[in-house]
Amino acid sequence: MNTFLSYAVPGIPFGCTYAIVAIGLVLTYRTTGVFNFGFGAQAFLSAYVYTVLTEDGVSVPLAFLISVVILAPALGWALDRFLFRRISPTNTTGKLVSAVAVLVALPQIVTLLFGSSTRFAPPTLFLNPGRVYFHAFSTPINGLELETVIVTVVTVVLLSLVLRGSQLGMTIRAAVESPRLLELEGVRSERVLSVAWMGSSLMAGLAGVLLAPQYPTVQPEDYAILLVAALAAAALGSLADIPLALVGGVALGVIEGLASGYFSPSSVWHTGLLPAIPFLLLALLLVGRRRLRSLEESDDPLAGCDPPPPPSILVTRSHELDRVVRVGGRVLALATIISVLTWVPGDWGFTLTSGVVYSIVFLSITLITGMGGEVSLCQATFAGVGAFIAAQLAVHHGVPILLGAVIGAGGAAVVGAVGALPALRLRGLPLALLTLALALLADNAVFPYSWAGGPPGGLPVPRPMIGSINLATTSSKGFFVLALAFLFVCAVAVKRVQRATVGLYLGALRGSSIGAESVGINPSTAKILVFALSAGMAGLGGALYGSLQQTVTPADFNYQLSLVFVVVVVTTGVRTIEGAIQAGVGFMVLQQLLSYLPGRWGGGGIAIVLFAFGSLTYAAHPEGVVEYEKRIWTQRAERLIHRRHPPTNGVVMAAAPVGVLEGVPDEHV
Amino acid sequence: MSEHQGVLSVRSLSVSFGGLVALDRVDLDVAEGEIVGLIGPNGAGKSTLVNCAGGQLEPTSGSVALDGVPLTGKAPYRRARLGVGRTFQRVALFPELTVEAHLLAALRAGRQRPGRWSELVDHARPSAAEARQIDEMLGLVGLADQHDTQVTTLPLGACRLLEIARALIARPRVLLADEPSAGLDRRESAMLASVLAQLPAREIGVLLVEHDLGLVARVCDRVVVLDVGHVIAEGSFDGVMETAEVRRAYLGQGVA
Repeated sequence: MNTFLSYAVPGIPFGCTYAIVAIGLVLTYRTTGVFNFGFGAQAFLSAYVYTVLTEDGVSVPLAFLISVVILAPALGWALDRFLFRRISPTNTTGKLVSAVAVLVALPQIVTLLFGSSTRFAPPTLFLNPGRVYFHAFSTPINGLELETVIVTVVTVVLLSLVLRGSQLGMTIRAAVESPRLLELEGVRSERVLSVAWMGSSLMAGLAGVLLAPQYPTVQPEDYAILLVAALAAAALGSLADIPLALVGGVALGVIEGLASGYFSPSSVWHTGLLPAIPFLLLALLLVGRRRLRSLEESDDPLAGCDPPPPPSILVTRSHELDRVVRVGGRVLALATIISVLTWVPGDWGFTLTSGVVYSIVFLSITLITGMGGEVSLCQATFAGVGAFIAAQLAVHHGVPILLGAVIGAGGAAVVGAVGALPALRLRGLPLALLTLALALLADNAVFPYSWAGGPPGGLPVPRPMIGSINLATTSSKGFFVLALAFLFVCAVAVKRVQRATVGLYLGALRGSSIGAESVGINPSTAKILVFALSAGMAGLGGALYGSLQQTVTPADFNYQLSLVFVVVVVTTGVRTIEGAIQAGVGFMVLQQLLSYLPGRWGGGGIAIVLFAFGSLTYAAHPEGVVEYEKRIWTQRAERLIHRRHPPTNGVVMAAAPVGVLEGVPDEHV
Repeated sequence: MSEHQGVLSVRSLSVSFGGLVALDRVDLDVAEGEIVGLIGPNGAGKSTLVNCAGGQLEPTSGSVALDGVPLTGKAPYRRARLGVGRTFQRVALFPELTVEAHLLAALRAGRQRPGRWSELVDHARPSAAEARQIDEMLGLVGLADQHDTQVTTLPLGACRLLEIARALIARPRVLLADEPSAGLDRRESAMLASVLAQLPAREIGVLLVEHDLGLVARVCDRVVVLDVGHVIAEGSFDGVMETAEVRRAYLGQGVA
C-alpha cells in the first residue's frame, strides 16, 4: 500500500495542471460551444513569457502578474472578440479549424518574437522547489509539488464560489444552458461569454506557469501533452461536467505516476505505453462514452434561431471563372514545369519538387475534409506510415523504393481503414479529437522505435532507379518528372471518385447524414472508404517525400505537421484538386522565399503563421480564401469587360446559375 | 393481432427514455395501398413511432416488420434498401446537391442498388432509364422543370415535396411521412394532398403523421390516434373523432 501511494502521490501535481486546463476547456466549451485546442498554446505562451521575464530579472510576482493575470485573459478576450464570436454557433468545422489555427500559430509567433534559443525552467511561484516540506505516505513533497496542489485547490474553490455564489456565476451557468434565452432576460450574453473566455484563458495561463518548472526546458511539445491530457480529463466529464473534469485530471496524473513507478524503466511498457497513456485514454473515452457522440446536437432550446451553417459549397463556380482558372492554371503549370526542366537553379528545383510531393499529401486532405466532410488531424501520421514502410523495406529487404512506396501507400490505407473503425460513430469534433489522439499515439509510442521510425539519426531512403536511370545522380529533374507523374495519377483518381456515385453519396452524407441513411446510403462504408483512400494517398506522398529527402525521421511526420497541413489546405481550398496543388507548391515556395530573410525570420515560422491566419477565414469562406479571392477577381474582371461591351438584353447575366448569387449575401461587393 | 399483417406491422412497441414512457405496447398495421393517418396531441409518441420504424431509434421492446421481415436491430440504410422510405419533420435534404442529384443518389443507393465497386469509378450522371424515372418522379411532385436547381434556393414547400420524391424514387413498400405539411401554405398543402392521394395506386403503404386534420380527413383510409404512448382509438376519421377519448385528448378534461 505504501509503495502504491508513493508512486501515486508524485502524479498528483501533474494531474492538477491537467485538471486546471480541463476545467478551462469545459468552461469555454459549455458556454461558447468552442472547443479551444488553443489552450495548449495559450498555456505555453504564458509559461514562456513568465520564463523570459524572470530570466530578465523581473521579480516573480510581477512576472506572474504580467504573464498570467494580464496576458492570458487579454488573449482570451481577443480570441473571443475578434475570432470565435464571429463564427456561427452551428458552424462546427469552422470553429474547429479556427481553434487548430490558434494552436498552430501561437508557438510560431512566440519563436518569431523571442527567437528559438532554449529557455530553461523558470523559478517556482512562491515555494522553494528544492526543499522538502513534509512527507505524505513516506513520499517527500517538495515546494514545486506543494505549490501546484495549493494553487489548484485555491483556483477550484474560487471558481466554484464564483459559479455557485455570485450573480456573475449564475449568469454564466445560465449561458451554459442557452445564451439566447439569457438574452431574452435582458442580459448581454456576449459580455458573459467574454468573461468565460477570459476566465478559462486565465486558467490555461496558470496551468502553463505551474507546469513550466516541472520540465527542464520550456518547449511547446510538453504543452501539447498537457492539452491532450486535459482533453482526456474533459472527455471523462463528457466535455460538460466540471467536477468530473477535475477528478479526471487528477486521476490521470495519478495513473501516470503509478505507471511510471510500477513499470521498470527498461521495460517496453515504460518506453512505449507510459507516454501514450493520455492519448490512449482520450481515444478510449471518445469511442466508449455514449454522451460524447451526441455532442454536436445542441440542447439550446433556441438553437433554431441561429442561422444554419454555411453549406460547404455555397457557390458553384461560374463558367467564366472555370475557364479562366482552367486556362490560366494550365499555362502557369506548364510554364513552371518547363522552367524547372530548363533554367531554374537546383535549390528552387528541389523546392518545387517538394511542392509537387506535398501536393500529393494534401490531396489526401481534399479527400477526407473536402469530400468526407471531416477534419482529420493525423494526415502527417498516415504519410509517416507510408514513408517508414517504404524506407524499412528498402533498407532491410532491398525492395525498390517505388514498389515500396506503393506498398507503403497500401499499408497506410490499411491503417486508415482500421483507424476509421472506432471512429464510425463519431463525427465532427470528437472525430477530430480522436485523430489527434492517434497522431500523438504514433508520435510517442510507435514512431520512436527503430523498427518503425528508424534509428535516432534517421532512416536512409534511396532515390528510385528507373531502368538504368538513377534519379539520385541525374540531379533532381528526373525526380521532378516522376513526382509530377504520381501527382497526375493521384489527381485523376481523386477527380474520378469525386465524379463517381460514391462522390454523390459523400455529398449527400456531408449535407445530412440522417437523410442520406434514410435513402440507403451506408455511412460506415463511405467513411472507411474515404479514410482508406485518404490515408493511402498521404502514405504515397510520404514515401515519395522520404525518397526526395533521402532520409526520414519521425520529426518529419509529427502531429504538428498534421495541424499545419490542415490550416494550409483549408486556406487554399479544400474542395478542389487545384486547391491541394496550390497548397503544396505555395507552402514550399513561400518557405523558400522566406528562407532569404535573416535569422529567426527565415525559419519557416512566418509561412505557418500566414497560413494559420489564412485558415481563420475558413469559417466565412469554406471554399478557401484563395478560391474566394479568385472568384471576386474574375467577377470584377467580368464587370469591367461588360462595361466596355454591354451585354445585349442581359443574356449573359441570366446565364449565371441560380445558386451563384443568392447563397452569398456578402458577394455583392 | 400477433401475426404480422400488411406491409408495415408494428407489434407491442414500447419506448422509454429513462423513466418517461413514450410508447407503451403499441400495435399498428399499414396495408399495401393504404394511407394510415397517425394523429394525436404533441408528445403522444407519433414521431417516436416513425423513428422506430425508420431505424433512427431503437425501441425498448416490441417489433417492427416489413412484409413480414423483422426490421428490429437493422440500421436505417438497411431498412431503406428493404423498402422503407421516409421524410423528416425537420427537412433533411443535401444542401450541396441539385434536385436531380438528390433523386439520383436515392435511386442508386436504394432498393435497386446496382454493383458495389462500380460506384467508385462510374459516372454520377443518370442513364436514360434513370433519367426517365427521375423525370417521372419530379413530374409527380410538381418539380418537373427544376432538375438543376440548388436545393438551398427552394422554398420549404418544394423542399418537403422533394423529400417525398427522394423517398419514393427507389419504389419503397412503405412511406413514413413525418408531418409533411408543417410550414406549408394552403396551395402547397393542396399539392401535397394530391401527391399523397396518388400513392395507393403505386402499391405503397403510407403512414402519415399529421397535425393538419383537414389533410388527414381528405387522404387517409384509416386513422390511429395516439395519446401519451397509447393507441386510444382506431378507425375511420369521422369515427374516431366521435369517441370520447379522442375528444378528451385533443380538447382536455371535462369536455366529453
